[in-house]
Amino acid sequence: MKLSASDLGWCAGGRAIVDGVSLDIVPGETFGLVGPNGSGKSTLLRLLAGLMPRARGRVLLDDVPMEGMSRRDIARRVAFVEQMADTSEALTVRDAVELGRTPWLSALSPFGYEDRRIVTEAMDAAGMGHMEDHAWATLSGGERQRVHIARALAQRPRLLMLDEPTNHLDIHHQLSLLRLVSKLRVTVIMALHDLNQAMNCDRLGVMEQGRLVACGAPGDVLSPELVASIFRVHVTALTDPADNSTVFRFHSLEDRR
Amino acid sequence: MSRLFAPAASALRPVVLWGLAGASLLVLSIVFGITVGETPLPLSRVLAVLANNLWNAGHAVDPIDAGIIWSYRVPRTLVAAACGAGLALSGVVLQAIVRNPLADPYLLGVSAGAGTGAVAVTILGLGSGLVGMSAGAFAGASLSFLLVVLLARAAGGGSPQLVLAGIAGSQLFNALTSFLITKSANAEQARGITYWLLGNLSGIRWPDVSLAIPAALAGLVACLWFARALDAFSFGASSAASLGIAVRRVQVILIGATTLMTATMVSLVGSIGFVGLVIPHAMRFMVGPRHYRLVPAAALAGAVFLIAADVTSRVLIPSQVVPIGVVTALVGAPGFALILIRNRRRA
Repeated sequence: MKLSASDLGWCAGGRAIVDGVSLDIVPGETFGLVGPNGSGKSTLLRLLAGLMPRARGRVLLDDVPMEGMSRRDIARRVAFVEQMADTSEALTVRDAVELGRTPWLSALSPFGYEDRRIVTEAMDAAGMGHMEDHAWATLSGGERQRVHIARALAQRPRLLMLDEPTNHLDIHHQLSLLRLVSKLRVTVIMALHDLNQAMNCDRLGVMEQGRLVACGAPGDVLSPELVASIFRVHVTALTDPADNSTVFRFHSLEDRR
Repeated sequence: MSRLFAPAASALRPVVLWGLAGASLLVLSIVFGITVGETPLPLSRVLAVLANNLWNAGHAVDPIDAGIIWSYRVPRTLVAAACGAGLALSGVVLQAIVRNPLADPYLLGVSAGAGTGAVAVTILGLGSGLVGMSAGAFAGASLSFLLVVLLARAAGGGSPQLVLAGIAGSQLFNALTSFLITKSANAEQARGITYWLLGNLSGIRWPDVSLAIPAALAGLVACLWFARALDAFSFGASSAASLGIAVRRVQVILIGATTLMTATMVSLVGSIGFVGLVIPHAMRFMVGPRHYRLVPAAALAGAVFLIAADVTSRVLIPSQVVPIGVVTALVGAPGFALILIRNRRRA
């Protein structure tokens, strides 16, 4: 799905958290957002999903202004996976994934066979099909994140947004989750912390103090100069002999002096 | 279109079965509530009076018995059922929307505000009659809930803050009620109001029924209509918004419905605690957290529970009526303790 945002902004307590961001997302691409803590990645994602009140700027979904769409219309197109959303309800995996059908149902068109099939498919796609009866409280962090992704897939979105989906996961779950996301046939926008993981995106946007300061192919954007100025680390690009891909190694700037 | 209707037909069977079972349980409880009381009346006479009034069956019944049954016990039991259902539904809604297992109209100060409003109307003579009292209760309930939510938000907006703000709100409005009573009521009024505030169904007559049942039914319909939206709040308001829920609108409608139900019930029978807290949790335990099951189950269980509590309040001490709030608290406080312990284990 095509998304174009112009001049997005959001203030909290007189401070601009996101300031004048314009962005065009191409259908089918995986777009990564990187930036230091507090640079406004999460807020920008929420602005793009239309989830922030009192926002400045406008977002077009397939050339239709989002402000004129109902929440339900947006949710049928855009799914959002928050950072570690939790519940105290005794939901099972299937219950949680069924929530994804919410924008497609109403009191008059209840949950049916087709919805059931979509939910099963979504659980299988996220690798949680074998755990559908497990209670939420018994799941590990990685499993919970997979359930959230399955829930988002059950929404049948054309655009999937993920806010630091690999946070708090061990390395195995990080990689399998990113692999899962990369195989999905939807447009993806995700905030990421790990620059090496960000290298696998089609394009990257770099945030600093609420502004989008660079945008383009990962190899072009993540130059040693930019990484040094924004992330305040020195980076050495190495080539992995296993597949000739570029990997970064980071050094503290202090060590170099 | 066949995709829409085929599943609906097969999904209807359990709905019909459970609906019938629930309705039967409710009818049995109501008949039980009518039959048991200070004056022992045989079931056959109760059924004869009901048949006489419902479809002019023409059984010969002692007019005094008929009067006790039709003018006192039937409305009293029906109002008990409506109040129980309304309070339990209020608890379900508040717990889902504020995402706090301890939320209920009593703890969040809604009942206390409703009490203040109703007392103000009675004593100060603002407006009059049943509707005036309910309107006063509604105004008081809305005001106190608004204050509690604003205070919780000013204190940082977390779950513990809400409970603490609710305690402050309850204390404030209970104090206002006491103040109003001391300042303006005569001794007889004061005794009556104090007794009524503890929860009391003995003054219930037919006009009360025509207020309680529509309020409970309206609340039930609203909760069922928004059952899916209530589910969507499981992971928080922002997650609900990303699932396509118009969060603000749903919150306003459902909290409005809750306040309306609580205010109506408080203006009729006084402030009854623990039903809104314990019944939803007991039902979550039995039918699970999904609201399309939880809402009807909690409404039914609340109705049955309050009928049973009313019967208990009548027969517990011979020739004395214990306030129903005392009975629900005697059962509810241990239930509340269980919820606290269960929550600690889960955390």
